[in-house]
Parts: sequence; structure tokens; C-alpha cells
Amino acid sequence: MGILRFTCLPLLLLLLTGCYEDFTPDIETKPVLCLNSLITEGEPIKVSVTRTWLYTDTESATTRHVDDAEVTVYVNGAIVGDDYLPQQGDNIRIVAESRAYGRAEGEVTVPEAVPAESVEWDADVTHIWKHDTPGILNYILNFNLHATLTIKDPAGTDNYYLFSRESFPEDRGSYPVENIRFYPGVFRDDLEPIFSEHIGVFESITGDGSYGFTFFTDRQFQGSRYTLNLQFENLEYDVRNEEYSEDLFDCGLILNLSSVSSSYYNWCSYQWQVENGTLSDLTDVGLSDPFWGYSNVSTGAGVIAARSSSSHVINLKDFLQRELARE
Amino acid sequence: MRRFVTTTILILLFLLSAAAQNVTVKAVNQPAEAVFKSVMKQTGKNFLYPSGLLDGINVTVSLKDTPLKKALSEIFSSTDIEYKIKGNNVILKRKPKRTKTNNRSVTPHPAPATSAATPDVRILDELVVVSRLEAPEVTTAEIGARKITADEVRDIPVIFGEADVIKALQMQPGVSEGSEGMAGMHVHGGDADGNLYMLDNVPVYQVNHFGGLFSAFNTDIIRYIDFFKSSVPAKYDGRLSSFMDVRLLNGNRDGHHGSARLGLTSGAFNISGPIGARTTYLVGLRRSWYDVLSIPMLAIINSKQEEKTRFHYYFMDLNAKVNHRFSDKANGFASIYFGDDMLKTGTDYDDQIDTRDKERYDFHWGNLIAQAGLNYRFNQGLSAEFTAAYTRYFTSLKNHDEYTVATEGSIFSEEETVNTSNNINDWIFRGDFDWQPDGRQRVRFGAGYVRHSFLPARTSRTSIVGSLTTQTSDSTRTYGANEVNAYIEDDWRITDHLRINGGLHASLFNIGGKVKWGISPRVSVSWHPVEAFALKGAYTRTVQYVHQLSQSYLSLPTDQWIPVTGDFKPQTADKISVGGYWQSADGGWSASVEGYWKWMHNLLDYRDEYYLRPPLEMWDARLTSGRGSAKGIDFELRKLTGKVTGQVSYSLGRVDRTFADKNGGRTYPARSDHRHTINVVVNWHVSDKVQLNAAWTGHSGNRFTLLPQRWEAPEFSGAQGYYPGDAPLRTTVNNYQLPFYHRLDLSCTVRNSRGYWTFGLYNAYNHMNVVAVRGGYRDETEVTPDHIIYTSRPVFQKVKLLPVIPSISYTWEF
Repeated sequence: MGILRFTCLPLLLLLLTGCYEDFTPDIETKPVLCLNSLITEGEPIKVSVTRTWLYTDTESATTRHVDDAEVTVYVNGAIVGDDYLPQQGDNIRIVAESRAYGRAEGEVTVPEAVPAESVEWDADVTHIWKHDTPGILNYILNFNLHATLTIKDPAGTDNYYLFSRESFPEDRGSYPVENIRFYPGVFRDDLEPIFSEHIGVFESITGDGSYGFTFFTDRQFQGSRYTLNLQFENLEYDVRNEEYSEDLFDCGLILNLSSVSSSYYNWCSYQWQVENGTLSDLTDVGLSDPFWGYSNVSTGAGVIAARSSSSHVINLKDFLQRELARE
Repeated sequence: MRRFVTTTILILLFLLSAAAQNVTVKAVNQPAEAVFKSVMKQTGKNFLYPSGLLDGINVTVSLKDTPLKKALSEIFSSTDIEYKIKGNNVILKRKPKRTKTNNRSVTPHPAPATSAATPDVRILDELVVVSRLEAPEVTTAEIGARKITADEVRDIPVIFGEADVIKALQMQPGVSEGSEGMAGMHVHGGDADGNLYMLDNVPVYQVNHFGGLFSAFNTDIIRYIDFFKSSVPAKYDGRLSSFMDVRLLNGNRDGHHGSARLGLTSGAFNISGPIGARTTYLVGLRRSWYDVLSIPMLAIINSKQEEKTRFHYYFMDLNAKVNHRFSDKANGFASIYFGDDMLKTGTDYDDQIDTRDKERYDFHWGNLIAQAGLNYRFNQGLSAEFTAAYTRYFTSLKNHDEYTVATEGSIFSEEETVNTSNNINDWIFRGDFDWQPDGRQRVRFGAGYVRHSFLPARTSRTSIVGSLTTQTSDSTRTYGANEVNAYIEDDWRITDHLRINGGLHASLFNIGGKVKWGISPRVSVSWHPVEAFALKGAYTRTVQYVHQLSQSYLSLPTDQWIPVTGDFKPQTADKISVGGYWQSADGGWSASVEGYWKWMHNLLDYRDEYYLRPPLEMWDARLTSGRGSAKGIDFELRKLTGKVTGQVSYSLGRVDRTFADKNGGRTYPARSDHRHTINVVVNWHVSDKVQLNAAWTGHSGNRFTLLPQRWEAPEFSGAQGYYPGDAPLRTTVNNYQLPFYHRLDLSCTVRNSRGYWTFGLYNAYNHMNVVAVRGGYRDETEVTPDHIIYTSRPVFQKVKLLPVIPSISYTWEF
């Protein structure tokens, strides 16, 4: 988070000369059921059923699993079996009951996938290196890529999105002895303002960015279009092969846009607060109210979330062939 | 611990009652005023007398450890002046045969109610008497109201030895501090934003420096503070819990005098004097030293680091005031207050090869007040004060990063700038009238208009990466609001034993095309069957249109004052108070017991999991409306005169809150729900040169939310692929009470011919109090012949702050 977290807050605390003392609070606790499930369109539902434990219980890792729980899945009000595959728009309620820990339930609606209306991109070569060994195709090409992805937000609902990207072929991280290697570069999430909409005043003043948080909501463009500006830097294409083949240029990026449930978004927002938020720093030293984990399960433990995804492929084949042909 | 607390209280009580009200005075043909200054310091008495009464009177007297009454008789034996001791006041006037009228000093506020027969009085070192609380509490109609003098503030030892108005008030019964060492306060179960702080009758929004460690009031130039916590005069409204009007000194008419103070954390300088025959001035400046102290520290740190750290922090208060007497009937005044905090920090990195990285954080926040006014006396019974004022609270937070790297002939550069600003601008116009139709009634009335302008946090970002520039700005806009208020109040002595103060404050608050309104009736009744004792009762309603959003217990520049908007209603509080007051015949002792029951409505607080709602949503979306109640009883015993003075108080209280969207709608104890609170202050005037002060406070621990259970976190891909492993299970809000809090602060003042030294010890017996509890980890290492095993075990931990902190300062008077 920058210097404030590392200098000013500790300086203040140093001034206050705080210290910690271990203790055992005299407070009653009762374990309850915890349900976790990420429901993905078209994939079987998996539910994790565990129980809560006292924070200081070091044995919990081996005892937290609940074996006697009976799990029932309701889809649009009807019980379904193991062969059920979630569909967009399905309302799914998961109920678990255990003799020891009681009942827990949570529900979610599988969101509608929102495919990109259009994806445009261009790339700028920043550096090309060519090996002069005769008879071997051996290049390293560095470039930046800028893409725009336009979506049309479905009207009438609050929608939550997650952007992610993949690349092909898979980056193995080692220099290619032969064939190709494609490094997808650094994605500059901080250059797309909508990825910062969750950042509060505290974090704004300390200069914190989104730290890889690429969730966003439709609060600023509800029911209308929005164009994501996606900047990728220092992409690198290495090729080392004895023969020229079109397959050698077959690489690119996969832009994934997932529609996620509010519970998915809230859970990840909570995670971000814990990891990057200034509030958690203040809480740690008792200068702010502590906050608990987000949950949409009746017991307050666990998250039932859902998502549907759409993807768009940016194939760099033509671009790479064109650029190398210039050399 | 209980035994220790009991012993401490007993010792302090013994000290409190040990000394008599005797004085030692030696003077040879000295001006009478100078002699009274000495008597005043020894006894704590105020001297009230008509302007010019003591002009030209010199005194020759030699008294050692003599009772006050005898000393006064001796001093006045050869003059035509008589005295009367009334409570903590000594009223001087000419003997009847030589009475004359003198209207030279026009009071902007009425003279004390008890001295209706002597309407034109003044107090030493001051031109006019303005406090409505001069009279002993046993004689007034008000309940839970007190005038606190600057000396009383200075006599309470505090952290870093920095005399502090708000921390002095925290020693009053029924008042709790927010976090240890901080300047926030909760009055009779109210919230921290429920207190209206005023500087010469003009509201101050930002009353803290350095996160709340210091308040914004420079005690070197304060004359007194009027503090109302139960029955509130109809003139005041706009906050739920308490009203505090800090009054500054007027300029000295006798010459240019002042003082300079140098302490560990700050220094102050003030001077006042005449400008011609009709005008006086006062200038006071206080500034902290942290930036100066940090220079050598940073030089040492930076000498060994490739990355240079930049740190510069100070806070400052500047007060300037001019008074001008136009005529016997008109006095004018103009004043400016500017208080700010400035924090500049960051780093500079330059590897001297190809990489440079610069981070800058410039934070600036504070308050500006400018006001001008006219006190005018229409006739002997009617006077008025007209005020025009501007108050501005501002916050400017800037972050700027620059990164440059040179690679193979090309330069890559990147810049990001984030600006956040937050401010309030108020224009205030008001007229306050004071009418005394006869000796038994005093009617105060007035009206005011305030034009508010609120800009909640507005953030803009500019990012420049190579040739790509991205600019974003949120859509936060400025909210204008108009507030109109009027009040009338009558203080009526129905009989010699029965007195009533009734009033009404009406207000309209217009924002966003919606008009919100409030009617605040006030009534307090005092019945004193005998001179030394009174029974009182009061009903008070207060209305609050603005509230402060704060995510931490500190006072930070990110705190925002927000007007009541949308569907939220103005916050209101209804309070019933009853009490009994006693004061000894010589005014040396007083005791009181006050019970109260307060109901608060339309309170606002953050709702559960508010932090999940993005800032771009209206702040309303993060808040929930609810109610609260507070009830309790305050006992207090004070010793007002003698070599040892002080007070002991005990409060029994209960405070709760209920919000629709917090804690599942269930009622929970408020953070400041202190069942028991004990405060003891002792000031021992050892000699003319030495004074010892002690303040002990103890109260039931704050309520805190302890999250005892964990649950297994889901492994969804989320923020940067971080998986916390587990998450805290929600629980009842404020389900845990921290251990009993107690602390003793000491200070010693040693005078010499030029000024005085002040030595202080905060938390003298080094009891580090628990301010929070949390889930932490205990790292352990086990060494065996074959292995070294490191383990990290989850444990609950108490967070403790503030050990013993010594302080020293010197004040030079001239």
C-alpha cells in the first residue's frame, strides 16, 4: 500500500508504544455449519460442508469436516439429483443439516452470461531481436497490446462482472529450446478506472490501486453499454525453430468476462479489504471496528456463489507474421 | 486491582479535604489588581467588580496563611470597597454611600444571573464577563452546565503535557473519552459527533490535531469554556449531546503582555495589548515540532539507505483578535482562527544508473474561521450581539507517484496522481439579544441564518503511462443547504426559592429541495429551599442535521461531515435530568448528584458490511438509521478553595443502540457503555511557586466486538488469487467488554521570576490499558538436537497502548 502503511501507521503505533498480550476470552461459542459452493453454468454442483471452530483451536484442520451432514439442492423450488447441471437464470438453494451442528442454507441465482458485443485491439512492437544463425528461425518480439471490450449490460438487474485473461499456448516460463514461447505480459488493471470503483477514501489517499482486483459492477452503466480499456504490456513472443511453419504463430490471448453473483463479488470484495484495505490495518491495532467475513449462508459461515462466463479470443497470428515479415 | 483503586481514591480524598482556604500575601504599596491575582491563584476565586473600581488603589499588606475572609478584610480596611463571597466568586463594590454608575464596559453577554444588582462587573485580566455560568451551580436553573476556566484546564495533567480543553472535559462526570489519549468524547452516551464545539460562538468542525492526540484549542489564550451537557440554553442546538463554547481572552488594555512556551511536542507564543485608547489586540500561535525533530532522524536513516524517506508533519493554530470600543454602548470585534495539520511524506529512489522512483503524499486538513461582531447596549436592560462569520473545514489529500526507467536508449515513464478533497463552507449571520425587564427575569432571544456548502470526498485520478493518459473523476457534487433558526429563552426567578429557565429553539434545514425542521423545547426548574441546597429538573430536546462519518476511532482527515439527506430524518434526542446541588456557606465545597435518561432517535451509523458497498454509491447506502438510549447517574464532590482543590466524581451509566441494519436489528451495548466511571482531580498549591496536580480516571472497559470463531473460506478465484484460508464468523456487536481502564496522570508546576516549568507524567504507574482485542499469532521456536521447529499458533491478544510518558515544558511570561 505504499509508504503510509509502512511508515506513518507504524510511526503512530510506535508513538503509542503498543504491545500485545495473549489471553483467553471468557466468551461462549457454539459451532455452526459452514457451506461453500461455487456454481458454474453447465458444471455439476459441489458443496463443501464444514463447521466453524474457535480461533485458537489448532486441531480444527482435522476436525472441521462434517461427515453426517445431509445436503439437499433445490432448483427453482424443486429438489434435484446429482445429475443436475446448472443453467443461467436457475435459482439454486442448498440446504445442509447435521445432527451435531444444526441446519444451514443459502441460495443464489445463476447469472446470465454477457458476451462482449465487440472486441478490438491493436499492438505496438517495442523491440525485435533476430538471431543470425542461418537456417534457424529465431526471433524475440516484444510488444504492447491495447484492447477494448464492449458489453451491453442487461437492464433491470444489478449485475456483477469479473474480467480475467488467459493465453495460449500455455506459458511454461522457460526459454524455448525450439518451437515457441508466448509470455502474455503484464495486465495493467490500474489503467481501467472501473476496476477501482471499490476503492474507498482511505485507499485513495494512500495511492493504492486495485491490486489485481478485476471485478466490477454495473452501477455506473446500468442497462447500457460500457467499454473496457485493457492494456497489456511487455508481451513477448519467442520462436526458435528450424523450419518455418504457420503453426508457430498460433498464439494469443483469451479474454474472459464472467457474470458473477452478488455473493461472489461481495466475498472477493471482502478478501480485498482484508488483504489491501487500510481498514484492516486499523482493526489490527484496535483503532477500528473489526469486520467479519462476508457470507450469504444462514449461519453466517460460507458462501454460495455462481457464475457464467463468456470468452473472446485475440489471435496474434497475423500480427506476428506481419511484424516478422518486416525484418 | 480493586484494592489499589480504593486506596488511591481514599488517598486523593484525604488530600482533597486536608487543606483550608488560607492565603499568604505580601505587598508594599502594590496595585490592588496585582494582589488579587495572587489571591486568585491561591484560592481559585474569581473577582468580579465594576470597571475602574480598583484604579489607583494600592495595597500594603503582610499576611501568612490567613483565612480568605480575614485577608480580604485586611486588604480593604483602608478603602471604601466592600466584598461579598458568593460561591466561587468574590464580588467587590463600593460601599453604598459612594456608589456610582459606570457603563464603560459593555458586556456582549449578560452579567451573571446572581449579580443582577451589579450588572456591570469585570473579572481580573479581562475586560468583560461573558459566561452565563459565573454563578454557583446551586443558584442557577441549569443542570449539568459548567464554566471551566483556562487555569482549571491547565491544572489537569494530560499526555505530552499539552493542556487540552477536551481532555479536561473528559474528567467531567458523564463524559467518556473515545480512545485512550485521544481527544474524542462521548457525553451521556452520545456519539463523538454529537458535541458542538464553538470558538467564540462559531462552530468548529475539525477540533483535533494529530489523529486526535491534541485538540485544536490553544489553551494559552483561552479565557474559559462554557460546557452544557444536560440542560442546554435555547440559543444552542444542532448537536445531540453537548455544547462547548470556548471563549478567547480579550486583548490586554494595560500594556503589551504575553507568554512563550516551549514543550516537547509544541511551542506557543501569544501577545496582547492596546492599540490606542479604544482598541486591543490578541495574537496566539501554537505549532508542533515534529517536523523539526524528524530532520536529524531522517538524516541518519537516509544516510544508509538507497531509498530516501521524506517525512514532514506539523500542526498549527493561529488566533488573532481585535476588540474596539466605539462608544460606551458599542464594542466591536473581529477575529481569525486558522488551524491545520500538514503531513508530507514519501520516498525518493535513484539507483544512479537507470531507475528513479518518487512517491509523494501531501495531506493538508484543518479549519478556518473568520468572524466580526458588534456588541451593542440599547439601554440598561437590553443589549445585543450581532455576528457574521465564515467557517471552513477542508481536507486536501494528494498522492503522486513517478517512475522512470531507461532501457537501451529508450525511457519508460509512468506517473499517477490521486487527489481527494473534502470540505465544508458555512456562512453564518446571527443576532443575539439579551433583555432584562426587571431584576427577576432575563429574556434571551435571537435568530440566525447559515448557508452550508458540503463537498463530501471527491476523488480524481490521473495516470500517464508513456503516451497514454487516463483521467477519472468521481461524480461527487457539492451540496448546498440553508439553515434558519430562532430561539427565545426566559430565565425567571419566580420567587426567592424557585427559578425556571424555559425556551424554544426552532430550526429549518433545506437541502436538495427538501425541508427538514426541528422544534427543540427546553425547560429547567430549580427549587432551593435553603441557600446552600437546590433541587433541579430539566427537559431538553436537541436536533442534529449533520453527522460525521468516521471509519476509525482516530480523528483522521478522511472523516467526512455529511448533511442529512435522502430519506433520513434529522437526529433528535430527548433528555430528562434531575439533580440535587449543595454548596457550603463559604463556597469552599460543592456536591451534586444528577440523574438522566436520554432517548436518541434517527441516529446514523454504518450498517453491517458497509465496506462492501463501493464509494461511488451515495453515502446513504452505507448507513442505517436507528435509535439509542442512555441512562445514568452522576455524583460529584468538589473542593473549590484552599491550598488543595479538586473534584471526585462517580458515574453509573448504561448506553445502548438499535439499528435496523446492524446487529440483525437487535439492541446492543454502545462502545462507550461504561457501567462505572470514577474521576479524581487534585490540585495542591504547595506554595506560591509550586503546584502539584494529579488526575486519576477509571472506568469499565469499552465494549468491543470480538470475533471468536472462524469458518473455512471458499477457494474462489478472487482478488489477486489470494485465499485467506478462513474468515471470522459474524457475532453480536460489542459482545465483549474490555478490562477495567485506569490511569493516573501527574504534573508539577514550578514558578520562577520569569515564568514557570511544567513537568508531567502521563500514566504515572505505567498501567498499559487494553484498547482492543484481536486474533493474532504467537510465533514459537522449539529447538531439538535434530531440528529447529517454528510454529505460529493462533491466539487472542489484548492490544495495549500508552505506557508512562514524561513531559516537560517551560513558559516564559512577559
